[in-house]
Amino acid sequence: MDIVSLIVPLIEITAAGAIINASVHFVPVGGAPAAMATSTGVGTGTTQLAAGAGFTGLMGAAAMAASVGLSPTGIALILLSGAVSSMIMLGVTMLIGQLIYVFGIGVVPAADKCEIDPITKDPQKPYVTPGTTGHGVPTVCFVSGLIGAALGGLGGALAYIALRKLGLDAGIAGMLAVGFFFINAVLASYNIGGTIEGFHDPKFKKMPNGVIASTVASLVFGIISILMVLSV
Amino acid sequence: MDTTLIALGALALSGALATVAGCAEDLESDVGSQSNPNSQVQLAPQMGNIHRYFNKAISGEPVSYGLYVAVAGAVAYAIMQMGLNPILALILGAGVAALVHGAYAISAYLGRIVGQSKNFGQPVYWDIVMSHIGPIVGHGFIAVFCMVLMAYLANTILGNPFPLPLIALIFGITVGAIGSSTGDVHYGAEREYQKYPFGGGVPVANHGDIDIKAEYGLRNGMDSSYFCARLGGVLTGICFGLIVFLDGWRGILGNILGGSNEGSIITASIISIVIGLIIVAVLTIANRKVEVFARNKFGPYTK
Amino acid sequence: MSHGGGGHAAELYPEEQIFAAGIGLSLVGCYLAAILAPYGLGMLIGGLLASAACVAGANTVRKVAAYGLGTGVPSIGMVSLGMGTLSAVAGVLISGCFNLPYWVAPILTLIISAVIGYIVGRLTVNPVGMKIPIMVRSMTFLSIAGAMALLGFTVAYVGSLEPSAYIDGALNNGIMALAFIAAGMAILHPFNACLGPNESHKRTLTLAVACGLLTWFVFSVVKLDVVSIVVSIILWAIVYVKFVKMSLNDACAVLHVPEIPKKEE
Repeated sequence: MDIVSLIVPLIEITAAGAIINASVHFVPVGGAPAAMATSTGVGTGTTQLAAGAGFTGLMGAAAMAASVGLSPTGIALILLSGAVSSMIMLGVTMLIGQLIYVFGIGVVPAADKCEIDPITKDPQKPYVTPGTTGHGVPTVCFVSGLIGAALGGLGGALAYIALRKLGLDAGIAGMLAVGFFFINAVLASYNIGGTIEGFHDPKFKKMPNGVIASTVASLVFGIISILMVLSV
Repeated sequence: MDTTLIALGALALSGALATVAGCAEDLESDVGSQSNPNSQVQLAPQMGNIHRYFNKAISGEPVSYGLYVAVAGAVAYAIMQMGLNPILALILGAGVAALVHGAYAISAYLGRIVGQSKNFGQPVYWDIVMSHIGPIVGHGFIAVFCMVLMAYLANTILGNPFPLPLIALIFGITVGAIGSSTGDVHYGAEREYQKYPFGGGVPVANHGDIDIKAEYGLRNGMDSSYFCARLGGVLTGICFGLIVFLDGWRGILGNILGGSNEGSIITASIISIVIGLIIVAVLTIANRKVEVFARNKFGPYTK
Repeated sequence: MSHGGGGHAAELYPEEQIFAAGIGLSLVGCYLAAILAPYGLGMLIGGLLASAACVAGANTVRKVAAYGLGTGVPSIGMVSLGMGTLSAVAGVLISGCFNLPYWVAPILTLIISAVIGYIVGRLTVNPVGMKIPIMVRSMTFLSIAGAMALLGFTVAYVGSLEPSAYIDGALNNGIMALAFIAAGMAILHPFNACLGPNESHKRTLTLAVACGLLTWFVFSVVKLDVVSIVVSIILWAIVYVKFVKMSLNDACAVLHVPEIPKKEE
């Protein structure tokens, strides 16, 4: 394999890692407190939800790659397909979660980290249960989650494409993409430190730290992947 | 038979299996209290509330369900290599996964309860272990069997290039992530705190003050699961079924609308992506409608 | 999900000893599995020794999670297995790449996993900013343990260290996915299950051994190796019953009726 066909996948893997790390910061995750309607967002862990969304994107990308191939148009379609699959997954999850919050628990979706919702301009404070830090999935969190899901699906698909371009088979590329996704998602999760409401959350400003860490880790991952295929 | 028809049939079956799997997964995580709401069960003895819940702390649901479904998938793959009937292989695979599930569940209960037993006076209820392990493993078996059958369909009919154990792992992680985000909220915020009035989040000050008494006698995991089957379990099932169906349906619709001759794979893919974006827009609007409904009907907190 | 913080209970054996023993045993297991595979003993010996790496990993998780990881124990299990997957695959493939003798693969995996673990560990301290004192060392240990567990179980399944056989036998049919999650759970479950103020190293280690043996059992079933299935399930049952008996002994009370104990006023 010549140098160009090795450098391009390396850049793609590094970019994919950075994108995955960034995507985790957009997804509104309330962690354990959200499961008790004590904080805004979806009631699960950052890594877990990002992994769920990213892997759905990975599956969509793999199915699409098997039918369109790795031409430039093909790659664009694979990336978009991964992003859309991931957005559908997170969108439906957040909507059903919202239904349970509103009809099963009887709370109004309200965010705690902003006075008014940046997108709908609705005041949030009067609807937050006293003693909690918000609950449910207000519109800003929903939109932020969709952006995060799109990026996550895109990142997972990009990593898969890069590994395929290096000449690895679908099964190997898929397995390495799963491990790769987990490494970057956990780095982002450590950066967030528990819960985040979306791009309006002050914790969102910490995102560059995570992205830098993931870029370095993904670069190392990419270099080792290249070493793996050198004689192929 | 027309390949599109077969694919559509497999997709519809996958959607139905996903619905059952999602519901069973959520109910299983209610019988054996798992994941985020379990933090309250863990906290309760510290707050002086000796309880009879099944404190099943097996990491998060995505990871644990990833394990069970991957075990089922790998065992099914091995048995299918022997030449046996695929359905039998899937059942045997789910059976081995059930054994692993049971082993982890009992060890989690014993580990966590004994880990706080002497300090807070929480006893080990052996009758809870014996009576709950059946429903836990049973619900788990239903969920795992449905997921591994879905993985098998995806591998053979729906054209996914990944090998069966890897698809099984990914589906397991996905069902765990979905069950953990949707149904668990009904258990954690409503059923665990039923004695507090309906219609509010649980303030941090009340954390750990979970229900000890049931409608009659003492509360345990099975009471939680029968309650959550009314709303949380069903919605989790619908959530997962919708995801699986919508994602596959847009692809098939793209194939039908874009024509099925050579060179129009690109058109078909573009159409499927556009349909996906339309679905996402509809979801956003629906979310907004629900939010506005809640704001208007429930109203703000007044002093 | 749990949030670490079980307190630093007294250690039965120092972490370095358990780690060295676990990694050493699993390294030997990789070679024995490849050597003994033609005699049908690959899964029997290889699987047993690979579970030692799971115990080593579980012990390290116990040490680092006690500092309070903030996002729960499952994440650290998954990241160590993610690094382990790359190292295991890289170790086998690279040895084929540069025409090195294929028995060098486990050593390569060991080195690569140590390097990746160290780099990711440094990244979590700076720029990500985790404040745990032993983070870099723990990440390195966990990466090595995860990689050795993965390599050990997959080599025991495939029966050979040769790259082409390994790719067909473990990667293209997805068995690596099973190894990923099974080893990951075996590493993160023991401490996650046993944490609390009354956590004891003895119980946690016993559960770690049981989880490793259960993983060996799963792989034996997948390999359809009857002798291995029988031996692993018997050994697992012995260790598991021991864990249950220890737990019942250590509890403040074991009740069989629906009765909340009366508190003394």
